[in-house]
Amino acid sequence: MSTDLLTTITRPMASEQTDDSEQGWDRWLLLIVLLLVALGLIMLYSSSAVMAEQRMGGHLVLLQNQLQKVVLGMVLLTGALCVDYRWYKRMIYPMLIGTVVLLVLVLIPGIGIIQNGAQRWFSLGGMSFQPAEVAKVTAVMYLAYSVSKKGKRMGSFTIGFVPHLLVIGFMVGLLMLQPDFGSSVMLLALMMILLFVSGAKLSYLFMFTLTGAVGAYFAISGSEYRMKRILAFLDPWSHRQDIGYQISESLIAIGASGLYGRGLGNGTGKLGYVPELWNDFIGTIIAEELGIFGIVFLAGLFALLVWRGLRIAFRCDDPFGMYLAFGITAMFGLQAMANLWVVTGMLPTKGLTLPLVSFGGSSMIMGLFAIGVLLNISRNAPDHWELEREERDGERLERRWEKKREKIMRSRDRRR
Amino acid sequence: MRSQGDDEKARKWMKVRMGLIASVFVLGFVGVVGRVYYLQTVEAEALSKRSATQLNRDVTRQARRGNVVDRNGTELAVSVEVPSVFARPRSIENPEREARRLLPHLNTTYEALVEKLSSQSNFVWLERQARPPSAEAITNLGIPGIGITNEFKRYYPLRERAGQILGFVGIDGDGLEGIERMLNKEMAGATYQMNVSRDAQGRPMITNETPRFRDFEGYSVQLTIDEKIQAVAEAAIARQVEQFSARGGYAVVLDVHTGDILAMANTPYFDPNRVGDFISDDWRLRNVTDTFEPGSIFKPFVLAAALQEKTITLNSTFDCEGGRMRVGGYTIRDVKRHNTLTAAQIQQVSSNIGSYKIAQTIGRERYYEYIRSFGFGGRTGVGLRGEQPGMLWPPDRWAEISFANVAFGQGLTTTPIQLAAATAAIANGGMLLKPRIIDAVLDRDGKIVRHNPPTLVRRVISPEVARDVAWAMSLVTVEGGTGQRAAIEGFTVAGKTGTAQKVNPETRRYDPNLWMAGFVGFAPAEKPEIVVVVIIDEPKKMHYGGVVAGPAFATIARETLALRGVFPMPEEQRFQVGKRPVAQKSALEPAAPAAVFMLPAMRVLDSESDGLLEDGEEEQGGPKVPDFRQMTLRQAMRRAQDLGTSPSIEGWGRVVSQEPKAGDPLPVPLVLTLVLSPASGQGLISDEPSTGTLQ
Repeated sequence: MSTDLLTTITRPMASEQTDDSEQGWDRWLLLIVLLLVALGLIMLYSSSAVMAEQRMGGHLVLLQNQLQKVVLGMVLLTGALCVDYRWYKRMIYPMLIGTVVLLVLVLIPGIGIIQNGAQRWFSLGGMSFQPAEVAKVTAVMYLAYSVSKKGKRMGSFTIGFVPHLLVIGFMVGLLMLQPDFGSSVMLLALMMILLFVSGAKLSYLFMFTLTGAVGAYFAISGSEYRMKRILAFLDPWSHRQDIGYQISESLIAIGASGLYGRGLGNGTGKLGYVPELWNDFIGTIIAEELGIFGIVFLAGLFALLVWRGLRIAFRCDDPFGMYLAFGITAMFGLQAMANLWVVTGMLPTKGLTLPLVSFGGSSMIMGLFAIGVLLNISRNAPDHWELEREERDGERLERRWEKKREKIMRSRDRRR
Repeated sequence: MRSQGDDEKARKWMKVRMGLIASVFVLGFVGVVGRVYYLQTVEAEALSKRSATQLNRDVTRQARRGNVVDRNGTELAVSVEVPSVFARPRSIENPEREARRLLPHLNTTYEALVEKLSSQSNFVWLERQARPPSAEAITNLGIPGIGITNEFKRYYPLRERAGQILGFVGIDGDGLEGIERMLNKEMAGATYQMNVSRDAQGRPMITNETPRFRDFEGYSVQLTIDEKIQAVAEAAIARQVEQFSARGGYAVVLDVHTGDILAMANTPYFDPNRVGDFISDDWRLRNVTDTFEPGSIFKPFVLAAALQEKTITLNSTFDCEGGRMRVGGYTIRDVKRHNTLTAAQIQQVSSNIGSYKIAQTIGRERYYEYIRSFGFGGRTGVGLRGEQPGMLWPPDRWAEISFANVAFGQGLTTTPIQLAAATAAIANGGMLLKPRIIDAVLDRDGKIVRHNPPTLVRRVISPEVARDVAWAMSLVTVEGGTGQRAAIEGFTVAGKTGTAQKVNPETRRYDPNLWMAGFVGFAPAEKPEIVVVVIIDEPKKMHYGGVVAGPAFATIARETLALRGVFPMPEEQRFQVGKRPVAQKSALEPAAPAAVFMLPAMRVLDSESDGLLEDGEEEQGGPKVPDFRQMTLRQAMRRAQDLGTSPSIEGWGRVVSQEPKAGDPLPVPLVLTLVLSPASGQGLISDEPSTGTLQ
């Protein structure tokens, strides 16, 4: 059964593989991403204009802020498109250390800024910066690197399972100190997905999921705040005055607008009813103003994004590239899915943005950067660095000999 | 080869797993679409309802209340929009912190504020009708759960001017007293409903249909009061009250041709802008609600009645018996002893005995009819709330001494407005007009919605008689009269002083230390334009009407004549002392103004006299006001206490009249007024101690 599916997926790709390797990057993916970003900017303006006008002294404030981030993100995307993705493999440990440093820095009072009871970001050159968003990307890179390196040994517990758990667990530990439950769950889920894909034993994964579930249970029941969120998720209407307010209002906004939506700009959730409408709950206003078509469009774009990402992964010859492409794809797919499920009341609220769409600088910048990496993988370029290694080594040897020669020549001159 | 096959296989499996995960994502997205479809179809109705309840609200707003303006259009009461600060305590997270932030801008204490902010209710007012700068500062704080809304506040720009006439409104804009209450319905304006969309803070964002607010605005009310004359009158009586340490004072200024009340002043004053600083006694319009025994002020009506009946002429002489006369076992006195006086001189020197003898010439029945005809013992119909009819016994109950007393103004009670209306009837040639306080009700464009025309109640005396009485009254303010201080340069003033003894409510006897000093008059005497009544209640040190009330009369009359544009008359047309006026046809026929509305001719409106009626038929259903009449004070008090009220008592003796009437449905709350009177003549005697001329 699965083999049939496998052949249907892989056969055309296998034939194409030779044809358009080196043929250039995936322009369809870029188009999908640009559509998502554009939809995000439009809905951001629609959702935030009233609030920005009243509280920030201009209806364009949030839009302008986000545009800056998009521009910066596009610069990073272009950069990542040009940089061979294999460099991330080579630089993985410095990057991991850098990420850990950032995660620690944000916890230091005075550097990290506390907002809504969590210390999640710090100010960097006038821009707020969330290390958690960086952590997601580096974690995916590390997992792709590690998993691809271990290859067949992934079945073993000590080699295939424990090291990843340690590294990711360490990052999750730092994230939980902020605390950032949503990102922690994201990292663990990404780890599980990559381990599953790379052939880790299902029994380990199952056991881990079980212990994770128990741990999550304690984490939730130990915190009144998280407990309430669960209760609010189970019955938003009876917690409508406090913790269930956001989700109740989100459901009202979506449901009351009808299948065709209220029309762009006509939503009412933005009148202060749905908090963070431009941020985590941007899906709400898309459903409210654009109706079911808006949601089909949005979900469709993400599904297409997943498809293109999967295609890139399948067409990549290099195991690291393959895992990295899939990891990035999974990161987008998982977060988008989780966010939309939260917005429609199918998951408890966690504080995850809708990637590439929601307002939020770090998320947007890192998202576009990750897309840049994905695009670079789609080039399927030969590893010039490795191919030219001999030449480079030769050149280096040559230079060394040259220096030595000069030295000998000079000393000879002096002696003379 | 084999390892290559394994690799190929492993890679295939990896792709399968990747595809599996990707399919989960795609299914997840499909799930989102399905969920939204479910929400927008199956749940749509329920969610729409929830949305509508929080989003759309029918906001009921009260339109702007109409103004009150004086006869010249000067604004006496206006409504201005002011901000009010409210809180939604449930959306306030930290009451202590927000209270500290709000405190500098609110007129309250920290503790009270914290209590309000931490209450469990959905909505509390923090400060209604706050100062605009405070409201702006609070808006700038931007505290969630704190809001500002605009309300109309009633504002009286002239402060205490005509305060008791205007009354005041409650914080919700309902008229509670005075004109504000009387014409509340006209001025309130409509409430209008708006269907608005509100944001989460409850601020109206979009009005789905915008009404034209002005269409709902209340009507304005134009009074007959002239704010400038009112100011003069208030100042004049306030000065007299202060000078003589009196308990209070009243003044009424009437236009004799139309019955327009030009001023109605009441001391102590009342500023409706600061209702809380006053007690309910201060805001009573005593000119209509308080009764007193008029005393000598009443004598011109006796003269008028006798002249009209032609039983006497101005030159008829009367033996004043040396200032002492025994009537039915009592002695009535004059202050100065006179032997023979003409009818006119009796007015001039205010002889009690002479007045009694004049009254005797027409008999008590006819006399009673005349004083009823002048409007005593019945409401004037001015329409002001709480107007008292005054108390006048029917003649068959008069002992001889009572007849004598009523002949010089004791033993019956009246109100300043009643007195002014009756005096105006003498001044304008014999026509009793209904006093008018409301000139017109105007819509927002100033067009008249309802006009309240001058109303003639009845003709009481002929123009000739009126002129004779005016001439006799003019002797009061000249050499030898009791009211020389009421004279005005350039005008002849017709007037009458009065110094009435008051009944001490504790002893229920006339108290030699409690007086009511009054002056009633009109000017110019030859061609009257205005009537002024001045009553000073319980003056100390001095109590002669001419001295205590006379100067206030002079001030008010002088200023009013100036403001009304009345010029002094040429000397040859003015009354000459000692020479009866020659009837001049033109002057004697002061035809009623064209606008005067004539009531069907009626002599005496006995039905108006409350409390003296036969018992009405008992109606079934609902508690009724019991009959207090003929009860003693003690009995009446006990009965009233059973009903849970404490009545206000006037006079002493047995209850003769009550308000509300017996048999009326029992109002809640019951405000009971009982008028008592002694059953016999005992205690009805009073003395007028002096002519009022200073020694």
